[in-house]
Amino acid sequence: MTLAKSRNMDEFLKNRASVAGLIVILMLITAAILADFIAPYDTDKIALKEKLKSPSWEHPMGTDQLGRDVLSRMIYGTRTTFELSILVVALTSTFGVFIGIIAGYFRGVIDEILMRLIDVLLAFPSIILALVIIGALGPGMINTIVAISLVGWLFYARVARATTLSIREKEYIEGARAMGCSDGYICLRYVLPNCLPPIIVLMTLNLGSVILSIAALGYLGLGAQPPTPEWGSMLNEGREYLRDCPWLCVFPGLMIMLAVLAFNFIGDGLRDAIDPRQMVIK
Amino acid sequence: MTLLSIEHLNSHFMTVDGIVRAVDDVSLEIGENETLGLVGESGCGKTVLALSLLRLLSENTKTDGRVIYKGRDLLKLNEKELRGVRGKEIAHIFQNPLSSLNPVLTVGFQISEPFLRHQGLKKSIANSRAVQMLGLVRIPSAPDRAKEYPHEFSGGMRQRAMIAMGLACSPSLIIADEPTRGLDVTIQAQIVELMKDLIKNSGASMLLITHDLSLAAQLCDKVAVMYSGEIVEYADIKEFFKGPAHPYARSFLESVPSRGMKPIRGISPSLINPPPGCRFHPRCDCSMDICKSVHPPLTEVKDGQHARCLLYA
Repeated sequence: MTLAKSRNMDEFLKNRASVAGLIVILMLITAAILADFIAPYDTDKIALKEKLKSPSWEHPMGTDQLGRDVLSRMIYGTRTTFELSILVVALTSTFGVFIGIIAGYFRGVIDEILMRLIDVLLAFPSIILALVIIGALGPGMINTIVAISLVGWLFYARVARATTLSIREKEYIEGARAMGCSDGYICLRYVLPNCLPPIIVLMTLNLGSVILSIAALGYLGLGAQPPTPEWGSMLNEGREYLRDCPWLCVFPGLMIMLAVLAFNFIGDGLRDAIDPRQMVIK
Repeated sequence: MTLLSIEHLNSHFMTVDGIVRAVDDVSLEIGENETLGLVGESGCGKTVLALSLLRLLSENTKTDGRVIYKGRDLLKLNEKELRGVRGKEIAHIFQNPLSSLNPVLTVGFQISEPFLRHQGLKKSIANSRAVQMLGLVRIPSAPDRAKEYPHEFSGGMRQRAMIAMGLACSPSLIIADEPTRGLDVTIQAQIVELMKDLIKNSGASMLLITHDLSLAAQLCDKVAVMYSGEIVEYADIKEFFKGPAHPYARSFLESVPSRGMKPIRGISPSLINPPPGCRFHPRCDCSMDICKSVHPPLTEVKDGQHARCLLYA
């Protein structure tokens, strides 16, 4: 395993875009964790005298319409975004993989019911479904998590089911049954670890799109509510001042792009490193 | 003493093309301390027969008949009772060592699993027993090797690890499905030696499935020849090698390189629409008119040697 691990690692490190993505994400995570120490100003401190200042040494990203420091809000916004997106991905991947393995392992009626349910949910555009859910539950962070998660698990379930279908026909599963292992134990010890590689790739790629969804809902005023700093809602607040004070929109926009790109690069790199078929093609 | 008796076992697959009769009315007995070789060409139903015994086949299979093991009918046990038999009483060694080990668990852990599951041993004890088992199948520096993953093992070592797993709970019956498949001749010889010793020492019975007659000759006490889902000959190994009774068994023996490498003409029959009468008659050199219409019963030719052929009926 050590050998395989290091080979995968080498493959990943050879991909410069992925390494760059990894560095960006590590920096963002550090910023999110250390927000209390590195943010120069209080995010909620209103100073109307200082409002709409362009970037300067005092305020590297300028100030907004209420005189709040944009850099500080960006740093705390990283925390909000990462908390939400990691929570969403953790919830959806766990639930989705659970459902997917059950459907793929047991097949039959259970599989049919679960997969048709997923088909129905996938038929709706995900953002519209999220809007409907938030419309019903009301805006807010918890409802954002609910709305995105409700659609998010579908992809994990599908990938996990497909992988499980191929794994359940493997001889070591037959061997485990011949040894007297129960179905539950086989799912946990044999199927789950073997279907993790594609799930891990999916998780990194999915983190990017979850960040985008959170920002989109924030931009529409349905996600994090003011005064909570969040990239999407900052973008929305800055919209009115776009002509005179572009920094209000440019920095949050850049940040969203950077985070999503970084996660996608990591996901691509991981896929190339883990999936042996891709390596042969190259 | 009979350890396992298979009575009128049928295993049929329901497919869109029709019913595949992979195992058709098979009756066999395995005594205690006895090794029975099940030989036959590819696709004659050997593996399906073995899998039927522990009900390891997929859901679209219809299995009926009786498999009596120590007074219990394995085909009537519920899932939980069956789990208690699998691996503990009857072990199954699979034919492909390269893909029969879980790639994400260490070999040591996989061998310790039967101890954990069936004997309820503590993890540390189960682990040391696993290392012991690896030593028993002659894997050098077993404590270190136990911590490795299957891909770090060579083919022969993986097959030994499989055997160690099978023997872990000292089962009364071992079902070995082509244990030397995919291994080169020298490794095959080592595995055969190892299995010979282990069986002698443990006193277990074995059902050995193979198409390698020399392997059967080295390990078995009795031999059953399977053709197109049926047992066509069942005999003591010595009697069998002196002179097989069934024309198929005779041709099968003559197709071995050391005995002339004479091919059997024709191809194996379909298991969906087997030929009427004797299933071997289209390929048989001794076929008579009656063979085309009458399905022969398994009859005793001489002491302990049975054949399914109209020559003896």
